Amino acid sequence: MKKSVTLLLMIISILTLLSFLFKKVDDYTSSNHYCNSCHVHDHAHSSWMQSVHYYNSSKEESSCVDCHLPPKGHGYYKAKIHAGYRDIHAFLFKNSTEYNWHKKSQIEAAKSHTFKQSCLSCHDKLFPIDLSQDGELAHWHYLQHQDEMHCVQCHINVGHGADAKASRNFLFLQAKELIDTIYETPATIDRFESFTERIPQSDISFKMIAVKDSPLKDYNQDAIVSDFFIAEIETSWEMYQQFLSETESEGRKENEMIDGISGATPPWGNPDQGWGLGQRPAITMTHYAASVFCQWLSNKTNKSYRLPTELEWEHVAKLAIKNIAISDQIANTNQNKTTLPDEIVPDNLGLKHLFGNVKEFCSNNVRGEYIIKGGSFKNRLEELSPEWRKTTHHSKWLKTDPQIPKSIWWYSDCNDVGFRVVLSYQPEQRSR
Amino acid sequence: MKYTRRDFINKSLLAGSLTLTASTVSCLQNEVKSDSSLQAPDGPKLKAGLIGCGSRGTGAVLNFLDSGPSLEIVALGDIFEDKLQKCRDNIKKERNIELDYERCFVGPDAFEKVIDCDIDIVLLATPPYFRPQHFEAAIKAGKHVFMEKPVAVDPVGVRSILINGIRAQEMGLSVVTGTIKRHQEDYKATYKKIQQGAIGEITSGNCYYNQGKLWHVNPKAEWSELEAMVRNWVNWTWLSGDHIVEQHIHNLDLMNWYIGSHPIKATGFGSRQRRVTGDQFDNFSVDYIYPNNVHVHSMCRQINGCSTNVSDYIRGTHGYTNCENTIFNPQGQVRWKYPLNDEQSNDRWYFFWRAFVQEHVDLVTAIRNNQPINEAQQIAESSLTAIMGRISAYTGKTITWDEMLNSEIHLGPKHFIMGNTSFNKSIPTPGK
Repeated sequence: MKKSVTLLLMIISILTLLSFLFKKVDDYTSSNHYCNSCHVHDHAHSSWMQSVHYYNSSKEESSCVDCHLPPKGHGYYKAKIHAGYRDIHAFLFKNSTEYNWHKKSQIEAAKSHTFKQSCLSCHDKLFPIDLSQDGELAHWHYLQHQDEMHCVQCHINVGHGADAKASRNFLFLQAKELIDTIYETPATIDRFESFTERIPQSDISFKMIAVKDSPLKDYNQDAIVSDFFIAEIETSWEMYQQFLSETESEGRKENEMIDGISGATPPWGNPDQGWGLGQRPAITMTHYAASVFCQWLSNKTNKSYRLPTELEWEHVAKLAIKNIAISDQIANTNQNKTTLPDEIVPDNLGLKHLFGNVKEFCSNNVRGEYIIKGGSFKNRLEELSPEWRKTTHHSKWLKTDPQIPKSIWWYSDCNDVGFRVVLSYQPEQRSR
Repeated sequence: MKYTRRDFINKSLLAGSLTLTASTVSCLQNEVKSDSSLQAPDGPKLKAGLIGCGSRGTGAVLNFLDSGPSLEIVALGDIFEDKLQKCRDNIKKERNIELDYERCFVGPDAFEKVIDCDIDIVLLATPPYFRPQHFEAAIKAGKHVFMEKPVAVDPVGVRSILINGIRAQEMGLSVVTGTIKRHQEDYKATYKKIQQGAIGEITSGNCYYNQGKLWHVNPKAEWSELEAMVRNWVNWTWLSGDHIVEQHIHNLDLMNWYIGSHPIKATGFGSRQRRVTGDQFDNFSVDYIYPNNVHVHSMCRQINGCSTNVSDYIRGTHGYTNCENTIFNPQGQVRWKYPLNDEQSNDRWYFFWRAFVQEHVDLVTAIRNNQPINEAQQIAESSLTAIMGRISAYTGKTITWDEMLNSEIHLGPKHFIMGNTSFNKSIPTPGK
């Protein structure tokens, strides 16, 4: 009898000790100190120190696991074991300098290592009284699509870095710096050779490269492209912003024309993704917006700019890489973000970024979705070819947009699409 | 008070079924329960302010004061001085309470001043156009709310109510609305029976609010156009939502309640035959489609000299009900009737009048027991149900719930400023 009581006492004390130890171990392995002891990305710690999740008026700070593990009761231990295994594996077998930290901080990746339940366990109020009207609209949209949406789709920068709250577009629409030269007139085309187009009433110019016609033998007999020009670079932010500033409207319906052209509404969120503007390609506009841009550019320059057909695009692409390979010399496939035209060398035709960087709209569509060519920075080099072909995904690319109706001008969820303009050569119809 | 115009369930039908089933009724007499107390529990003093000092607002104040101990009315607000004065006088006459003039506010911003007073509860009884703005202000100020039906005249207003309803929930505030049937003993008992399967699965419904013309107010020389409209508000769609929203919402709310869902589609007819002022229709007939293809036919009319009928019927696989107090078998024989005592059976309006106080009993009880109730969503959905029927009749098109929920339709002036108005006041023509 006495023996069994002792045994029982021993078992109880061992169990108590074990659970105490387990708690200790769990607490320790969930501490910031522990995370930082082998997590090699120092900037994660320093950028967290700058963020509202560390530095805020409430003096509450969130630790690593508050966001990067789900709360207890929502798969905490499962996620912890999974993360622990992954980390140990990486620590032993991978080289931390080869990680693409930038990519891991983008929305798609962030969704998998930041837990929505964690956000909601602290932020239990979706409509705090100081929420802006835009915020109300966005959270209302979230409420209706809870299963498909994650907080980080809008609040990507709140955990690391000094960017406050939601991604906003304040800087985006601010006036440009002082301008030196203002072009009075557009370029005139005298003969079929490359020229530099000038956008009147702006300081913006860009090169148009002449592309010889050709019967396209790969296609059927009738497939011919005529002589045309194609822009050296993908339509840049400076070009696109000029268009926006001259035409910006409240118009939300297609074909709603006031004073000639009614342009895009201000974007939801930050369309340049914080990567910078200038010569960097403009992105996230809809195909419709790109078409209206062409119309605006045509009016400004007395020409007929348009988007390329798929045939034209492929024709150019084949000429551009004749006898050379698609390499990172001429294409940007860095997986992170767009690059400037200066950062690569021109291809055979003198074009920049035909491959990679941003995928480019063509004028034709397949069952209502437009064809896009060339791939983007998100593709791998070996995937790219003149034949690479995808289409837009209109509704998928607008999932986060909370506006009603959704924007016809901006994609909220596609940050690697843009376009390049072309111009037919019409010798008999020179610029008036 | 507009409720006094209500014509309840056909008396003769009821009397007839009573004699036919005398034996059933007598054996049910044992079931008669003493009424639940029409008093909220005692507790710390609760002070209320009224916004919208018409007859219904005045009535709501008296109902509130009657609903329990330690309840006070301390502030009044209205756009018009004469309305406020009359309300103040009536409260004095009815309850011998003299409100301090310092807390009687007149003008378009009176609502803000009332909310700013040291009050716990705001009673909202203005024309429905103003409701979303007032509700938002009240909730953001942390006040409990009683608000009359309907709560909006357009989808934009409905969304605002839904958002602020969630906000109220997050803040632990209680919201009760004036769809009295949900607070009326006999309706509640019948609802419970239907929930328990007394008529099987619900297959269809009919609801009627066919009555004579309501009041109208002719413009006066000393009134601006906007003032004349507000004083004549039951005849302008932007102020009342049209009578399908303003009156018939009682029946549509009941349908949503019993069926347990809002409709997903509506196809409506309607026209304007004999209305004297304003821009509204005077008759609607709408086919609402609920989930599982359950159809509800709704009709409402405000034309003198026509047959009147205000009632509801819901049919199921095993019988039907008048929703108020009686359940029939498929052959039309009474299977169950809400048991009445002598006092109740001698007063046709017995439960009806009690329900007006019951709303406030429920609100005060929720506050004092710290068990918030929140009817914002149900009333917002009922309002949108009615709005959907109206828009379908106005346009001649079938309208879906999702279209409504995401619609940008906003009626009336963007900013409420007394004077002349510039918005469209033409009478809708279906199909155009």
